[in-house]
Amino acid sequence: MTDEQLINRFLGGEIAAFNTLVWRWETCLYNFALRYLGDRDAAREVCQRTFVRVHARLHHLRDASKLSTWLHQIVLNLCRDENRRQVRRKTVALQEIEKNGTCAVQAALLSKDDPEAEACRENLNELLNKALQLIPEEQRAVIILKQYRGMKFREIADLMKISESTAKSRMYYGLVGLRTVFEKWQIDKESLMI
Amino acid sequence: MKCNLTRENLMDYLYEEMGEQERVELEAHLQSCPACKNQVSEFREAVELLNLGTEETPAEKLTFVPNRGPSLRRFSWRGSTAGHIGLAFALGALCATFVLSLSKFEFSYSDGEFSGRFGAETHKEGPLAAMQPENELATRSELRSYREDAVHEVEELLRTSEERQKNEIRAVLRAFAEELQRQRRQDLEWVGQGLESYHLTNRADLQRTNQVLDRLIRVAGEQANQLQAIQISGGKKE
Repeated sequence: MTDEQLINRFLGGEIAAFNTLVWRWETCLYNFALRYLGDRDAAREVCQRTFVRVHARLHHLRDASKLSTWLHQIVLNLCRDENRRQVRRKTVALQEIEKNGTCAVQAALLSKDDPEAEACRENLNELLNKALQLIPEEQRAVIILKQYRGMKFREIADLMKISESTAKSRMYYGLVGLRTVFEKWQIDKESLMI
Repeated sequence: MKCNLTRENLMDYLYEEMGEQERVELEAHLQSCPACKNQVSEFREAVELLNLGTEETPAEKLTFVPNRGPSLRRFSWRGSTAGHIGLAFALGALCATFVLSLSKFEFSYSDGEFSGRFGAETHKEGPLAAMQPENELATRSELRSYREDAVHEVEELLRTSEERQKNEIRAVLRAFAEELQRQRRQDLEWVGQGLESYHLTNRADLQRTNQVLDRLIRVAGEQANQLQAIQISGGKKE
């Protein structure tokens, strides 16, 4: 069943259709928030608030085919709010990451069946999320949308209400920032060779 | 070729959003320009590192349950007929109490009958009389009894409130469980419908295949008969 059909069913009073939509989009939006905020609890909270807002405003969505863009707009705004709300900024324990960084990246290339690799793969996710926290928010948002959601620069520009050129520029500087972080943590192509 | 690898070009090239002609030109330039080639490979490496990240599944699934029903509305005086009647009644009762208190009206109830009289006399001893030493013991015991009553009432209220909360939680959980059950049933129905349609499609395909095979067998039989007839007629001629 398509998103459009589910929306129509929900607007017709079928709450189960809304829950199907939630289950379909939950992982995607949760991961967006997790990469943006770098904190699981905050990501869960933002994800939940996103769906509460979607529930309240779904009847305002005129073009159901733009659901993905609309959902990402909401989660992005809520992530920005959440970041503003946090008085205590998250600090990254650089030493800890530097110690474990290379190991985590190497482990990501191990076989998927290897149980030891599974734990390290989680560390790699944490490492990448922490690296993302070290670049400015607006660049981070573009990188997540491009790299992990596979959106076109045109779509990102529409979603963030910026020009396509600005989106590419933010992507460029975001990648420059990440390269600097990876260099500092001594993570490069050679460290990936096992 | 002059180096004109802009930020935008680089991003377009990395994420394959570049036109074919531009891409060919840029790749030709990269072959002859080690600086640009190096820059591209550095960015590509960062992108590859990011690609190693995987998606996490949230620890708990979100499920929305419908509201229990209309919430309690705050009573509005404005524009409400019932409100106007209530206000008038309250004001009337207040005025009546005031007038009756001025005329020393005494209202009492005994043996199932209400009685009232005007001009009741006030207590001659006055309120201070109750505080005289001979009454002190009685007053203390009364206070103790009031306090016990109050404690008892508070305990009763707490117990009632706790019971009510428990009932509410029970009702919410029951609604939640029913909703889950309903969703599961619906999901199963959807799966069932899908399987049924798949089955129908398969059956139609099989029927079509059978028809084609039947036709083939019939045609082959006819051809065999024709061949046999030809052979027989050939034999007769000989």
